[in-house]
Amino acid sequence: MPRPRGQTQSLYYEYPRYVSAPAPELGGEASRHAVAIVGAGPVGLCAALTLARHGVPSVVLDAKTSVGEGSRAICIARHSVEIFQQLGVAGRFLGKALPWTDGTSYYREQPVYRLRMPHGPDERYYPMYNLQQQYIEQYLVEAAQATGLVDLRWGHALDTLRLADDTAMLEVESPQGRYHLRASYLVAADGAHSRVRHQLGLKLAGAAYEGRYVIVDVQMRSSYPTERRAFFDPVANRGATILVHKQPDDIWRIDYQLRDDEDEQEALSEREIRARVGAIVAMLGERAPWQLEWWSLYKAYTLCLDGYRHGPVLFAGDAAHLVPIFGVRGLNSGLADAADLGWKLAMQVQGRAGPHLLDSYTPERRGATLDVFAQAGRSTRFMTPPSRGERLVRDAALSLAAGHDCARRLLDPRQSQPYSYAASPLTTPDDDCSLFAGGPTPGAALANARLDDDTFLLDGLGREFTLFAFGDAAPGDADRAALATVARDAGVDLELRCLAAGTPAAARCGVAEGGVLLVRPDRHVCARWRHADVARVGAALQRALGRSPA
Amino acid sequence: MTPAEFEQAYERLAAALDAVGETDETLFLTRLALLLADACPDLDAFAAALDAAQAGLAPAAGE
Repeated sequence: MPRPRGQTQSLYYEYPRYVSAPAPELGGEASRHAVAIVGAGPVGLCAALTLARHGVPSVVLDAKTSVGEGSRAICIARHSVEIFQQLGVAGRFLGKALPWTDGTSYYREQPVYRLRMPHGPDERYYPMYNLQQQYIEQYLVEAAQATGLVDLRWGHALDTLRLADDTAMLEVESPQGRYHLRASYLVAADGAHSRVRHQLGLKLAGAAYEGRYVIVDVQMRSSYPTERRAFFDPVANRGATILVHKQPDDIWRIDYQLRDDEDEQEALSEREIRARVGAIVAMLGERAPWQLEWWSLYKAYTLCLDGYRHGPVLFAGDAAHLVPIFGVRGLNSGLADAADLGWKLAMQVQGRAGPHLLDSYTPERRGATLDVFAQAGRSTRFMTPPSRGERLVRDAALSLAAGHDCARRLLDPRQSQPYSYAASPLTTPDDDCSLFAGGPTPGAALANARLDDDTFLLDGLGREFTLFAFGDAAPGDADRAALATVARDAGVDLELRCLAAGTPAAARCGVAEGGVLLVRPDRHVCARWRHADVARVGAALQRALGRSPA
Repeated sequence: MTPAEFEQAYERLAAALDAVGETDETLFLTRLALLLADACPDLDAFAAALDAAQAGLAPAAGE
């Protein structure tokens, strides 16, 4: 079934061609790398950038010599932009991506649900941005190149992997020849068909859903605003669903569900795709000419590994878990994996991690995956009901949604939210949660609250740990010296940010009357108190570095 | 009923429909409606639910 264009030919995007250089190992150099990363997709690059931010070099292997040849994510959630901000690359994304807050769900021809994601003048970033994955990867590649700490090896494919004496021994196939590479730690960010996973004989476990979608990118001029449109039982796809998203460069993502009786081969023929897309474009009321850019077939899975760490190997993104697209958690949860893993691995490599730090990666990020399964699983069952009973109830809810709040609420697509590491061994629970009026509980991501016209809370996030002290909880001179000592004892930098109480920012942090939040490098709160007690801060730091058993 | 409870009601109804199976589906739903009528505070509440459930559905072909 010939495609009209190759995978890296495009109507609008010029794919970069990265040079495949010979590996130093081919010249007989038997070096041992601190960290090797397999996969230069968004997750592998985000891990490399996070490591570089902490001064740790890495070597990144990727079989391809360009970007965006695998999956095609388009939605970047606010919490991912906050990760990009810490990596110093957010500006590049904001200059190109399309921000959005709203969405509409239709049942037959009638709008029945309006999605409004939380947003307001006190937010720095929009809840969601649309940007093609090839731009996401290109920007991250350029940022990685600029660090001088990331050895990007294009066209270098992992062939075999074995683990010996807690070292990853890789055999790599490159255009210049095969070579061996040793690494103390290996990040497997090599996607859904992870070679690392296969080499270690590990299997994903979980559920597969019956529903199938053809996902198509179409180039078409339209002034319709950027929002999420979901169609249930529409005229252009009776008995099934359609999702429509706008992307930069006049590109539209159209996902349409195949009915159970449709043949996949036939559905993926260009003639059939043109007919289906033509009907959908007509239904949308668009009159401009359109062209096909790219298409693929998608099925929903909730699959993950039992553990995300296997000795020196750490799995991230699709290599660790496959999640349904509904709710935009694939890319976003992979980036959160990399942000979590990056600082822990840096501390480990630098000899500053406690014995339990790396092991906290599985409970934190697999915990996030299971939460995604619960949320996205519901969305998936609503989009593609797996049984007659589910379908009857879903259709009944849709037909009641226009007039009844109880049914309308069921149409919430449950867009991606950051997961709280409340149950993590690194998190110090509240002594007394009644001292706080809301705000991020221990384990949750810090809110990026507005401080003044131009600054937000996360602008003050230090590279390592940060103590945000509000109002009368700000430490005096003696306590500041003592805090510096406990940070030195813990082996980390601790930035102190003193802020006023009684402000909207303090209220958003749950400390309107004053209080202290201890925040990890990945902006998750690991402890909070009404007043800073130096010994407690020290104990919480030690715990956040994995020096307390789980 | 809270939204979270309503969502659970939705899921339990789906599971019950699958457990009952297609043959007894209509009988099951009618029995359920009668039991829920008995759980209503008064006839008006049940009549309002009846009207809402009928709204938008095409009337049966004429007698």
